[in-house]
Amino acid sequence: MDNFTIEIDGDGIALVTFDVPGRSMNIITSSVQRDLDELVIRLSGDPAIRGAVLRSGKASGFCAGADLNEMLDDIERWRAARTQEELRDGVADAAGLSRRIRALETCGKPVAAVVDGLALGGGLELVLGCHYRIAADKADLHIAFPEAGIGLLPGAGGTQRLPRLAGLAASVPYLLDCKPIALADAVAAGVFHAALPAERLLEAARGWILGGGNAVAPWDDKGFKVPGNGPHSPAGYNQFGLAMAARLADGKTPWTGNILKCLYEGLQVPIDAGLRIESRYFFNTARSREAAEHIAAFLASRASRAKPAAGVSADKATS
Amino acid sequence: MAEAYIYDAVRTPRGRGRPDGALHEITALSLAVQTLQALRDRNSLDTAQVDDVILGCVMPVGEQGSDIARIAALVAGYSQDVPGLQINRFCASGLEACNIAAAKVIAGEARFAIGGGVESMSRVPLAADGGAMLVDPSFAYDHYYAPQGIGADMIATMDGFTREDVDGYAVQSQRRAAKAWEEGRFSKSVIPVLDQSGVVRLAHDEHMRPGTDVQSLGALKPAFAKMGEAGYDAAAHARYPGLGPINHVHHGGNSSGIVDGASTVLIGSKEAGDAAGLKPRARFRCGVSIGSEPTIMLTGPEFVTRKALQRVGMALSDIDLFELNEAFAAVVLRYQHVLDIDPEKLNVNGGAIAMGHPLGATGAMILGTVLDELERTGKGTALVNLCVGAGMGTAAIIERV
Repeated sequence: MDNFTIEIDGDGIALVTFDVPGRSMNIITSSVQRDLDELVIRLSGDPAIRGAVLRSGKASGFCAGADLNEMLDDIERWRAARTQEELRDGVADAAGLSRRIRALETCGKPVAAVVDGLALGGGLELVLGCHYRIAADKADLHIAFPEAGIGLLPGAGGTQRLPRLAGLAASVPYLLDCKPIALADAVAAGVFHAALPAERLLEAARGWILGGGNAVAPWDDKGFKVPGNGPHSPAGYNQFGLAMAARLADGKTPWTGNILKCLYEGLQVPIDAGLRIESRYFFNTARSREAAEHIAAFLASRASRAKPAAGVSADKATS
Repeated sequence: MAEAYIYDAVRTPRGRGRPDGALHEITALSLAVQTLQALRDRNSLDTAQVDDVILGCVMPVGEQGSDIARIAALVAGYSQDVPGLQINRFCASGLEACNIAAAKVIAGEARFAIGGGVESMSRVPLAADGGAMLVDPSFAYDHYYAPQGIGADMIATMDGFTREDVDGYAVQSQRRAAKAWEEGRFSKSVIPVLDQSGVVRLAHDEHMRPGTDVQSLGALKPAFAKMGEAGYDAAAHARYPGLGPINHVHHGGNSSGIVDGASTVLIGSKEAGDAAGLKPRARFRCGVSIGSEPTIMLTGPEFVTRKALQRVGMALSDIDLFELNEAFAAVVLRYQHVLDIDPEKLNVNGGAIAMGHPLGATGAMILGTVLDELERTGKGTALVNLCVGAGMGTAAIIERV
């Protein structure tokens, strides 16, 4: 693996360090995706491993999200799809990270994520695929889903796991408006199980595994219910319907509509079906003319500023 | 093709649709059963001659679920050969049920067919049936959904109806309804609702506030301003970019009341009536429905009226009485305005603002109301219609024989 190192201690806890070589910031490249396959095989197959702690090797934070330059190539390919077979292949391709995060979540070993800096977009989705999540108790921790800001949607489980933790209505501003998730709110919503001083994170994560950390996500438990219930509930009608209408003030966009559809349709079915639905809408969104224009405009403005904007999931972002 | 005739129409009084309403302790099934029994008993009807019972019901869940029309026919003691069909055309369901019943007679599929509706809004609340319209982004976002109250306020805004205009209309509805009750104009069709022991529970519309005036209505706060501000005005503006600020004028006092009630109308062919020894009261000229722009939702009456008139080759001037469900005051004011209808011909005995709108039942109620009024005044032709959720309209034209 080029992007992850594994050290196994005497308790059988694998310390997995995420460190993309040659970058100041972790981003999710195709190479990282391939490594995730290997990592999951190792964690689930190695009897010496009891559980894992996933952390970043970068001082800059956990992970800034997808590699947008790579994604532009993907999008070009996806946009060309016409036949049934091409569409199926395109969706499968677009679902790559989602499928890998789901594999990690169901690998059978408890996995803890330790976040001591920014976690954005796909990086945050990777964190949400871990069973236990703790963050450094610092003011500048940057947690957000910036996808909608560049014409995309969180396509690796973000639209499914966040509302299954925080509830439907509470998730809307984070997913649609890219509102940063304040640490206290993230803890209250269950995005993080705890916020601790940075130096205590690793020990706490180890302690969770040693204490019998549960390797089953809450939504894989029978009888799981979305907090506050799904769209077909009084709260759904009152809050989700209203939130949706309010977004029309800025005009309709494919990503807003499709994020809403991921939420509405995905929360009425089990998680795996929800993830598949999300992948289809991610594919549709990424293929839209509007998304291509948005991403291109974003990359152009980033190039012209020479310095990346804070909080966007992109190559060489430093925040 | 055969003609369809109306032989009789009955309805319950409307109880306030709240836990303290008189009909709250009476099931929706019982309301429907009592109107079916009244229709049978008043006409000494051999129910084996009835080929369908079609009831509108807009919240067909809970006790109103599982095809309440069939269950009501059985419980009413109708022949087990009589099938039942529950339908939903939102607020026009009761009229649509009559239109379907008439169509079955005209097609020769039914000798007698009963149309009507039932809704216990105190027991099965609004939105109990959920639906994609409210929250599925494929409709609500992509097609700019806004609730009806917003649509009504949009109409007031677009057509320039002021708060005084809509409140003034509401007062007129109250006065007309009160006068109609005083003069016994409804007595032919309203049957008392009996309780479990057979004691009269309610014999009179319970929702009316005859003392209402524009001043007292003026104290009521707009009901839809808050939800508009919180999001739904944005949907309206996205659909109508030039609309400008929405004037939120509607409230509980100038909108249809939430009530419980049921209604049934006996429709049949001439032959069926002759065989049963019944005299037809009116001929069904046509029953039509249309779709209209769904965000504003409530402009259907204009278009369905035009379609109905065209269907039978009539002009507005051929209609002696118009009945338009008083969903919201602006809906009626717009109708009156765009079709230039004489206010003295429209909703002459008041409407749902005063007496309430038991969703699934109203259409058949106002069909009966206008038939009574045609007979009382010796007039000939009436057009009944309702605005309908998701942008639709349903109408019928009847003619006395």
